[in-house]
Amino acid sequence: MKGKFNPVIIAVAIPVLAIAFAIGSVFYKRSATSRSDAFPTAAYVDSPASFFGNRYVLKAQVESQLAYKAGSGRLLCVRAPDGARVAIVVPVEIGRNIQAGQKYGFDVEVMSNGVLMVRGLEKF
Amino acid sequence: MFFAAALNAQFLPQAAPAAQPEAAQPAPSAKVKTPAKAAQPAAPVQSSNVSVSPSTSLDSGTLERTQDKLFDVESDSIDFENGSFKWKGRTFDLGSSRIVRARFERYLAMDLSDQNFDSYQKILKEITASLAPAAIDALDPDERDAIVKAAWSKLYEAAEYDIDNDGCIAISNCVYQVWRMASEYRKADIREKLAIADAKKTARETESLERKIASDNYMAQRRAMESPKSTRVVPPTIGANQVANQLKELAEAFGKKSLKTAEKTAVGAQAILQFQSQTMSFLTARKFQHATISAYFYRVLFKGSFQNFEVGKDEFAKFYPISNMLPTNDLMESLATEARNDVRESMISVNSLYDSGQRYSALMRLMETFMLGENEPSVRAFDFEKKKVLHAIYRDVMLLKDLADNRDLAAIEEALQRIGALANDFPSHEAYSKIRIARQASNLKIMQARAAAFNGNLDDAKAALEEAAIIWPLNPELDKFTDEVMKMSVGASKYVARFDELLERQNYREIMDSAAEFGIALRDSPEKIAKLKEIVGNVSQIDFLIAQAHELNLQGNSYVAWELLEKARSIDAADPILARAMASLAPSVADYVQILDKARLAEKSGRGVEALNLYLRAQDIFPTSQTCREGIERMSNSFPSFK
Repeated sequence: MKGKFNPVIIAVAIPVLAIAFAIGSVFYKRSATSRSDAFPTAAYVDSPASFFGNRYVLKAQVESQLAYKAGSGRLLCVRAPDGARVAIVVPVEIGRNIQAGQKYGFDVEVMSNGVLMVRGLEKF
Repeated sequence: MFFAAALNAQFLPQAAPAAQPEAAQPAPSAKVKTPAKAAQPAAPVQSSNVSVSPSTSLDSGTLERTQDKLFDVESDSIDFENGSFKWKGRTFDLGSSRIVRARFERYLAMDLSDQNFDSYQKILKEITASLAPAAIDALDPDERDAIVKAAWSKLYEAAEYDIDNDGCIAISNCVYQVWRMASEYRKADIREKLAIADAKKTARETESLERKIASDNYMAQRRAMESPKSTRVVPPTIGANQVANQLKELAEAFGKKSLKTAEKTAVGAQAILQFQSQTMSFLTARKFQHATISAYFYRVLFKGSFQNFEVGKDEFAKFYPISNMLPTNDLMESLATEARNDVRESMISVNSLYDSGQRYSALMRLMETFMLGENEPSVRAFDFEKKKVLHAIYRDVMLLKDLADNRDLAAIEEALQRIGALANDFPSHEAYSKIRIARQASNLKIMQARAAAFNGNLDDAKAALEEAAIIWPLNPELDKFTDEVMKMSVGASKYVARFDELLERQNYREIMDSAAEFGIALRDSPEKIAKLKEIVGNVSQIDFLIAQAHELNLQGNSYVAWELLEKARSIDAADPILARAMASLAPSVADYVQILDKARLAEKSGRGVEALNLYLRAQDIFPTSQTCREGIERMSNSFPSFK
């Protein structure tokens, strides 16, 4: 019997698998953000600590940087679609060039002290 | 002092520009056609010697001209200092200013409505109409005499009215005197003629005697010459005594004739002088209607060669100093007529101004008109109700002078309000400004005195207080300050204890109210003085911010106003006046205040995230808020995850 290993099949299978992985990754990511609820801006401003542990996607426009500390991150003021402004913390690990005027979908988690900590972000 | 001078200059009728009488506008009097003027006798002015241009007559028929006259300082004027009234170059002696004012006030207070002016005027008009030159010159002597006698008898009818003041009686007496003198003149004339005849007869007899004596002497000499025995010349001795006696008789006859001639001349001159004196007297006494009637009678009674006035030349020169004209009967009549026209037109102006509410100007015009024609019927017949109103204005205007002298600002203001309620043209704006300036100046001086006392500088305090009293002697703040000083004299220790008590209660307002007293009482305690200064500074700053916030709120900048109140609150949050101001403004900025309060509470409670977000929300309402900006900065710098 001649060899059963056909290199052509392998050459075709690898790109196909790579494409399938990529598509799968995209779909996975989209499904992950779509799982998060819209951010309740007004209620959060009134009582941030009561939202402890929740995660939301906050679609907002960066307005200004309120503070920055090396090794810690930056404190941003963003304006939500409803016009309200809130402060969010972008950890240094996110490491993106964020500028005023840019619009992001922020994956945020409410910390115990009420801080909105960004866990991920996506520009839109 | 400056205030009194300003008020004096403005409100005293004799000093005010508005007190200038009617301007001598080049306004043809022909434009003014009044019923009264139409009723005047025709062509009363005929003298060619008198230059009374109609262009100088007053025309008071329009408001515009009246306004012009108000500001024409070159026109006729009243000189209260000299007690004279100058009218178109003629000066009337009015008496002292006090008497003139008293007379004017009496006139304003007098109700003459019971006088029958119309009937009285009707009689006088009948007299002037019947004696008018145009009417009487065309008559023959007998008719003329009858007219004059009828007019003369009407003088007695007019004299029955109180308003006449016996002026017509004086004229009638003059006329009667002329008639009586005319009778005496005729008798004197006869006596003069008889004396002349006697003198002529005596002269003829003397001449005849002289001729006879001359003839006799000649014959006697001739006979003597012809006689051969005669050796000497025989002197003529015949008739010398007779001639001397005859010459004496001749001299006596001529003397008698001269005496009779002088008697006759004196009789005529006496009547003329008496009449002229009466006319001149009426004119200088400003009884123009009587002067006119007197001149009319004079013209009719005396022929043209006696029309020049022989009396009162000196008085006329004083009365009419700018002219070198000789007084004549026509001139007297012309001046009287012109003055009457002025008075009548001025009274039209007075009524017009009064009815339009310009009663201060009406009062000024009435006063000037009164000076010229206080005896004129149009002045005396002025409505008593209007006089009462003008009298009230006059009293208050005169009162202003005294009040200004005493610097009683409150009373001046009250008087101005009363005048303003009656006369809408009274120039009170400047007076009000002066009052405000004086009040502020006095109050500032008192503040200066307080500050000096606060610093323990009693000499400066005293000087400032004296200046404040000079500016406004009745300033109530002076009494207050005096009370404070009096209380201080009771005992400084009492004030020290009081200060400590108030300081403990943080009642800074009350400390501020008595800062001057505390300043003196605490002058030996530097620490407490420093505290007092700090309190005064803080309260003053709070007051300033409250005042500024009030003004901004009025302009619609409520959030900015609130911001200032916030700033004041940072100085002393417990200030009661500030609390009231904030409570008053809070409803206008409720949304902002509510969020800001929550932010502050959160910050105070250590809920930094909540505070930050609330400050951000409040800033959305009032973007330029300093409080929000500072709150955001504070919260950002101490944000939890950045610790």
